[in-house]
Amino acid sequence: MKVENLSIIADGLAKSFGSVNAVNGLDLNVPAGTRFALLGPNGAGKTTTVRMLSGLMKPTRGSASVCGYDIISQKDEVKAVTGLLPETPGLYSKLSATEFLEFIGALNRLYGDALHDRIDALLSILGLEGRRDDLLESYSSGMKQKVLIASTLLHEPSVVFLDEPTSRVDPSASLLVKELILALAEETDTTFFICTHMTSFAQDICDIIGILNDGELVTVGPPDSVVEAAGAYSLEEAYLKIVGRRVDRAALLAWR
Amino acid sequence: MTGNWFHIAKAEFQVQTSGFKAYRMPIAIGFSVLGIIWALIIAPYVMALVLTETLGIPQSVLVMVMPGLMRAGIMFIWVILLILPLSNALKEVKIGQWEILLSNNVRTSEILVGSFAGKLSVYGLYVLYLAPLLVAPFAEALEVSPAGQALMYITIFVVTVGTIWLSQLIVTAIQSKLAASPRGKDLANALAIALSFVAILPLVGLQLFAPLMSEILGMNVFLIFPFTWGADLVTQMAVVFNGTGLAVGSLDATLGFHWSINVLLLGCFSVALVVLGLLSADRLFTIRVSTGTKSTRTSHNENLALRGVRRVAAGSFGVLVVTGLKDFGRKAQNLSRLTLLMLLALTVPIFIYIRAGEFDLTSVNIMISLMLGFLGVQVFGGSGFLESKDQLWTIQAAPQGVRRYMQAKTAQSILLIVPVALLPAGLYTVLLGLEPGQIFFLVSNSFVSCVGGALVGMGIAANNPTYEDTKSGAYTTNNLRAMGLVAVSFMWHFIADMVLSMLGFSAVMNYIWESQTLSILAQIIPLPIVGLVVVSIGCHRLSNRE
Repeated sequence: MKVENLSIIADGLAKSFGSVNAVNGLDLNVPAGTRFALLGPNGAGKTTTVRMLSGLMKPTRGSASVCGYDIISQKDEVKAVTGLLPETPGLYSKLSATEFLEFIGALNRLYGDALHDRIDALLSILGLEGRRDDLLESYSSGMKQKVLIASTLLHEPSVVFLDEPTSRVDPSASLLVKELILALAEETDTTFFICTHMTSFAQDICDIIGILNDGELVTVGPPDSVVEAAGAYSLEEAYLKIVGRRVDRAALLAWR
Repeated sequence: MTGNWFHIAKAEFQVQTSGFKAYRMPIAIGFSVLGIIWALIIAPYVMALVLTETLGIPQSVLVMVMPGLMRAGIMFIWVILLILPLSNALKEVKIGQWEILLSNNVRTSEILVGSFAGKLSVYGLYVLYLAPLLVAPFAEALEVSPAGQALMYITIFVVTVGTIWLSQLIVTAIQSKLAASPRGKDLANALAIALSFVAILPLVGLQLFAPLMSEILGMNVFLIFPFTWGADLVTQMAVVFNGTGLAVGSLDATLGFHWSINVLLLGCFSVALVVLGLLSADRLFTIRVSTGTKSTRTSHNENLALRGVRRVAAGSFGVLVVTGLKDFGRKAQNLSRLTLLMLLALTVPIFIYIRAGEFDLTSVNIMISLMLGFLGVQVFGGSGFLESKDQLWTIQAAPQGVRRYMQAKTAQSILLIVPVALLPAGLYTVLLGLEPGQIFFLVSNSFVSCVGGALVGMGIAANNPTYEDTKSGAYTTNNLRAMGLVAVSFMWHFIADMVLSMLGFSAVMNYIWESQTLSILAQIIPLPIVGLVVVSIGCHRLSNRE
């Protein structure tokens, strides 16, 4: 695989918090235009990986580049070409959706008609045009998530990091997010790096899946290959086999 | 089997004493024992020593001032016990906890009683230490018998318990009305700030206008307040059980009611409060979002000022400043903090005048500048700086996001400070009849000090963000550091004077002190310089990656 066709390259990427190794020697190549899903249980290191790759967190060891920019020495360049949807919303409760998106656009040096046209279009696609001037404090969690998705895409990043994009939205909004990702990936060659523990979501839209467990990437490949390699019938079963979280019915009732 | 109220009280006690959780019981018992020794032995001895040996105040004078001072003292306890828990509770709306309790088949009255009992233990300790300061001087001077002293303390105890219960009732009612919506939380915070200000008023009043307050509180209109019944009853107990031969009816003209009526009023009030609380618990604990917090607020067309900012700063930076101004102006807690500190900036020079009898441009200028420095810290730093860690991630995710955010915040603060600095300067221009040159001097000093305070506040908050958590130790530390830096920046000339004198350059400072302008500038200028340094460090630290 040619390096110039790769959006993300990680080489032995590691992050420790004191004695806890959140991510341990991550080696990863994600081709441009790919929809990559990073699966893993809670605390596996998915969010830490995304934060390092988007230039927000400094790795303890190893190196990585995003769109050819080094995440350690060129963090501002990395931020300019990436968009990050955080795991939990960091919205301004006293701004309206339009005002918040204007703020995010301004942080990315966008302003004027070009910015407003883009905000209008995104809010319309996400079904928020009727609530655009309401303050965000009155939004439901699903609506807030939609605003955050809009803010992530606003500056047309080449690589989009989505941390649990559908965890707070209803099934119809989840479908909308899926379609949006597929359309953007096909039409604009945008690379999507999606952290999730929803195997069905990953299987539906991603061409490559990586499973992270205890900070280590234990498997990577197309969904079918991952399922086959694990000797399973579905991605969910493969995931459970790989991370080793089987349910013991007897143990479930032991507390009684 | 222990009632549910006990478990709630225990949890509340654990929350109140979480600061020393490893030694919770030994410390609580130790403080209680020490408090009793203090109340019965140490305080009477110390107060007697101070009154008779040091101050030599005659007994007749003490008897004369006792009713007024007792009313002021009990009012102080009443306000502290009523408002501080209220203010603290509003900072932490507990609807989630109520949902858990109610879903566990806990009765509403049990929640009320449990929360009350949990608070009682801690706030009771405060009273145990404070009440003797009030009771001991009079008990000692009037040689009140042990039974009389016991009745005085019991009266204060009843007032205290009743006040804490009333506070708990009001907290419950307000919290259930505001509920856990973001707007409700904002309004609760705004109310908490206003209430904490109200709580310090009696203290300021006692400091500045003690005789006047005693006179005012002696008026019959105060007989409608429960604290007056309690205070008068304490005074009457002291007189009834005095050992100096003071006639029982000697204070009847000063005190409004006969002691038996005060007992009746205080008793009825306390019983009515308990009954009212228990009977209305089901109504008060109905969790609902009030119309005010549920209504959807919409952004409207931008006003002239915001449009002006957009026109002057046409690019993305202008957008950052405008959205920042909108966010600031829509938060009730920001406006509450700004209003209260503005009131202080407007009135502190007048307080100083009342106290010291001086009212000139130099002292007014220093006082206003200092108060506006504190205003800058509190309004533009602290909890209004960043809402959450996630918000910080969002800002950090943009190229040079933190630097641009800080620059926009600074510009936004400067724009807001312009009217803030003009208001006190305008008031004292009228009061002092200033010349144009003096007006410019006062306005520019006020502005520079407030900007300096804002930079210090933002810099400290950026250095160690505490977001909207106003109960953490880090928030308190930040506040103390920022306020300390402002105060030290105003006092640096003392240090400079000392150092220069030691080095043999005392002439430099003498030259500065001879000029009124130079001496004021010497006090004002360090703050913005310190502010710039602190905000630069804060910006750098906030940009740093973990």
